[in-house]
Amino acid sequence: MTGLNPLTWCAWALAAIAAALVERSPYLQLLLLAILLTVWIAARHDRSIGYWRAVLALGLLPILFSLVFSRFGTHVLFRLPKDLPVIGGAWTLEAALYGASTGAALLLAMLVFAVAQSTLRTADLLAVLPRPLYRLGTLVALALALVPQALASLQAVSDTRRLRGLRSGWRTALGLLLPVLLTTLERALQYAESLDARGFGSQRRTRYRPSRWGLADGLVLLGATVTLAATILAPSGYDPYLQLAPTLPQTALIGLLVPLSFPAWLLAASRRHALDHV
Amino acid sequence: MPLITFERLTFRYPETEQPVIADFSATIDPGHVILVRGPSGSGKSTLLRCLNGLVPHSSGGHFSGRVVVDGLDTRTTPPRQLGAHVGFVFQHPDAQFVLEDVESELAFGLENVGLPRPLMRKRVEEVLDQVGIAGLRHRAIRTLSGGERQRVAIAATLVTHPSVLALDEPTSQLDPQAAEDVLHVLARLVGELGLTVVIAEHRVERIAPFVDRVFTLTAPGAPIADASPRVALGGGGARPPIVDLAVRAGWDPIPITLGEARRAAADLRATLGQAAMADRDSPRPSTAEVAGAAFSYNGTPALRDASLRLHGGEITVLMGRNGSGKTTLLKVLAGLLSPLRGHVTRQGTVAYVPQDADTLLYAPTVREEVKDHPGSMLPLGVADWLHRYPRDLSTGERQRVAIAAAAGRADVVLLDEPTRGLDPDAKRSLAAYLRVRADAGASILIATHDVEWAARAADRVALMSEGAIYAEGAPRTVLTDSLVFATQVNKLLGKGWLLPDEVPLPSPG
Amino acid sequence: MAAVGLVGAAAVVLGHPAHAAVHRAGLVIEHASGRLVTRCVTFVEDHISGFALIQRSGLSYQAQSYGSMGQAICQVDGEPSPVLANCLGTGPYWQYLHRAGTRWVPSQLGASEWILHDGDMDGWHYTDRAGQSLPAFTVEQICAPPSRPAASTPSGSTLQPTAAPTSSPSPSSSPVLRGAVPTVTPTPSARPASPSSAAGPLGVLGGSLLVLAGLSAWNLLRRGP
Repeated sequence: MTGLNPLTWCAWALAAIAAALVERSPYLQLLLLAILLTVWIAARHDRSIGYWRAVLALGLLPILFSLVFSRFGTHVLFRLPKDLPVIGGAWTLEAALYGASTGAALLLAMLVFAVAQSTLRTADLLAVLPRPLYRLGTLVALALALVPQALASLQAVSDTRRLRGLRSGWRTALGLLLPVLLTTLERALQYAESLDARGFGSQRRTRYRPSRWGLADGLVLLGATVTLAATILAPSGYDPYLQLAPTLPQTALIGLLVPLSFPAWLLAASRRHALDHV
Repeated sequence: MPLITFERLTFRYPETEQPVIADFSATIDPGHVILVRGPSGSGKSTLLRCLNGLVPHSSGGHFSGRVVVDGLDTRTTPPRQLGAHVGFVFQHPDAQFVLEDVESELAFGLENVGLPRPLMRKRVEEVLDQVGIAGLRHRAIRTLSGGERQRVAIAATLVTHPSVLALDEPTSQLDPQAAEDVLHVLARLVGELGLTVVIAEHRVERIAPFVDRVFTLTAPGAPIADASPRVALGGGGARPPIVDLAVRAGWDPIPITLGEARRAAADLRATLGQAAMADRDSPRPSTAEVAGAAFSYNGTPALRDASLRLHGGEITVLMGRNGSGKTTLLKVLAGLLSPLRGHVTRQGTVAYVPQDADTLLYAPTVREEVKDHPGSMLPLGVADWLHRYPRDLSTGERQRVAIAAAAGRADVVLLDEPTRGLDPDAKRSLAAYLRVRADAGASILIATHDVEWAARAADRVALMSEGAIYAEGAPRTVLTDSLVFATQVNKLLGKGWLLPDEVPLPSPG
Repeated sequence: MAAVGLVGAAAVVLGHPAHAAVHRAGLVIEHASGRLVTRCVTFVEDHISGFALIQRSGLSYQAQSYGSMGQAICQVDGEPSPVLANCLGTGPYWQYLHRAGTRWVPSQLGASEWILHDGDMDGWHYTDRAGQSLPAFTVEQICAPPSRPAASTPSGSTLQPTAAPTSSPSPSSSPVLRGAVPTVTPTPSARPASPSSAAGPLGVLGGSLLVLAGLSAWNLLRRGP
């Protein structure tokens, strides 16, 4: 059994992101987390997510926002004097949970991206793009290539700044971000020039790697469709302001999300690697 | 029928007054290798980019005159189309790849020109053999070393069978071994395929043997000299040390290769005595020390029992192949990493300047960058750029600003590969600056691959391999009689001689 | 990213209740015998407390003050009679519940602390067994002209969302932060969770998690970490 067609992975990723953003019941989020981790373990090879810390921070941001701005809810964590402009008043558990729910959805979406990054090569994406979208495709390829680089150089910059004897903190964040931003922009420019120099976009492209479809693709597509349908038809919500404890979703809904894990099964059964297309 | 024609080419970047290239005319015949040399900022990159149309299409600016490559006028042909005729290899190994794995990258150019699949397969197989990278076929590019990446870059441009290969300082970011490999490949390609190659390089000594003509640039807008290698190198500018020696000794014809130099130097070698060892100065106080340090990255050992001591007023150079642990040792000394075993002592302030100086610069003007160290001695030229935006400066200039910003006042200065990509003038002025700092009492440790520069600048040299220092001493002791770390003059003459200007020559007559 | 966050925050803040002319809340009482009493309470304020709901319902009641914890309800509509000296003994007591969506949820707060908005419903059940529930009602049913409340099974009945057509009190109108979620109330097809029917979904969930863990272990072993 060979690996999966890149378009299959795209469809899977679509269904997975829809599920991640729409299903808000914490039970389903837990299940999705398990599914995505399982697929990630099955599909990744030597690429680890170096920027997981930044992603985690991104997931925690909504909690902060919700806590800071929402004064509603009955389970009070602590109170600030009422005369403070925005933040005065009760800080509630409901607000924290609301933010946590949103943050979890964001984290799951990022996990889907991580899996997609492991299994989709830029070459595959460029190969399926129609001609009018070539330049758009290069933007996507650029982002995929440069975001990890930018985050890596963020680490490098912070290292060397320590040695310049400069404090790190909010005030000096500019000194941290600016060189990274500028370096990334320069790299983006060079990337664009590289593309030009290699003739990208001059005419219709042909494909080096043939596009193969197999039984595995069909199964994954089926699973993804099932999950997508379930997500659209029966979204589950979670509103801590109405009810602190989440409702258990229906058995059927739980069951219909599980097909999202099909890639993990198929990869477990195959002898070849996720990226062996040819 | 010339392959490339420059006709009265004049070019000026947008919003500048001074043209970078002024009224340049030349022709290049098929199968020739052209070396473009000159200091940083003199227009080498610009000239190369005229070949594949990045100038003027990508850069903008004022372009007059004509450049015709393979029958195509670059003013009217966009880079996308010229790309099939001119293969371009950029300076930075990281910056020019579009896709993740080697095979896809090789096929990329072919897909862009719309070749049918069987032909693409054939071309990819061919180029893998031609460049000798068949073993790297399935690797992810980010796992490759710098030298491997540049070879893949060359291969990726060769697949479309371009008539011209343009390379913009392809070896400047590489260590000597990798640079050798890349130039070896180029030499073979030139020999077997008859490729026309236009290459910009600082390390002229590696290229000189198989170059047909040399374009010498001196300053932006100044006339570009076009001459044969012997004439160009003999006339000055960046050139191999043996040419320096040859000019001093008056050898004629000027030798380009080591072999030619050996023949010309036969008499000199016979009569030359042993070089005198410099007397050791009285020992200076130790300012920083690493003793028995060990460190691992994720289980891979980087340092094993490394010990080094730095003294005030001394410039120490640390050399070793890639992966021997030089950067790790510097970081341990700087305090960025804590060793698992052994200990580190430091006196006074320590400053570490990393390989990529761009990570240090963020202020809008140079003045802002160096304001933490008012009154400290600034490297040559930095005082002139105080009002300028750091990123507008060339690599060498940025390097100097970074050193001033980070290490302006430090007692212990640690520099990681500061000479990469610098032209000879910049290297000289860096050495001069460091000398002044050392004389003022600072201890300086530099990790570098540049043997010639080390021979000139160092008081002490330490060699490192597999995480430990295996040789240490005065340059004349360490850098002689070695295959890897010997200077060119030393390979020529032996007997402890390192630099072309110190060799005593018999008086004429 | 920051812009999205700010808009979302604004939506959270602004999505909260505006003023409406007349507000209604429902009250459901179940005596130990099983007898049900419902009351509809109208109010003009933005919100009232659970204690005020009982006060305004017209039912007789007795309460005891527990200092900072507010009022404890000792007797409602005549039960129990007489009232215990320390109000809450070891036997049955008035359990306080809130209507949330299609379920009754035990209250975490006392009657004085709990806040009802337009369209909310409180319930009191006199029993000594914990975890009790009440029959399903909607505010519309209680506040409409007298008709038997529909105590039918909740799955098939017309489940109107408890958020009345008037201004919705919950922060459900923050579409930006919520992403693509069209409705934020618990899914219309969810059953009220009673201990027995939770076993099904929990079992499937737990089972799926175990199976996935096993699959991951298999994959890890095969390929190495």
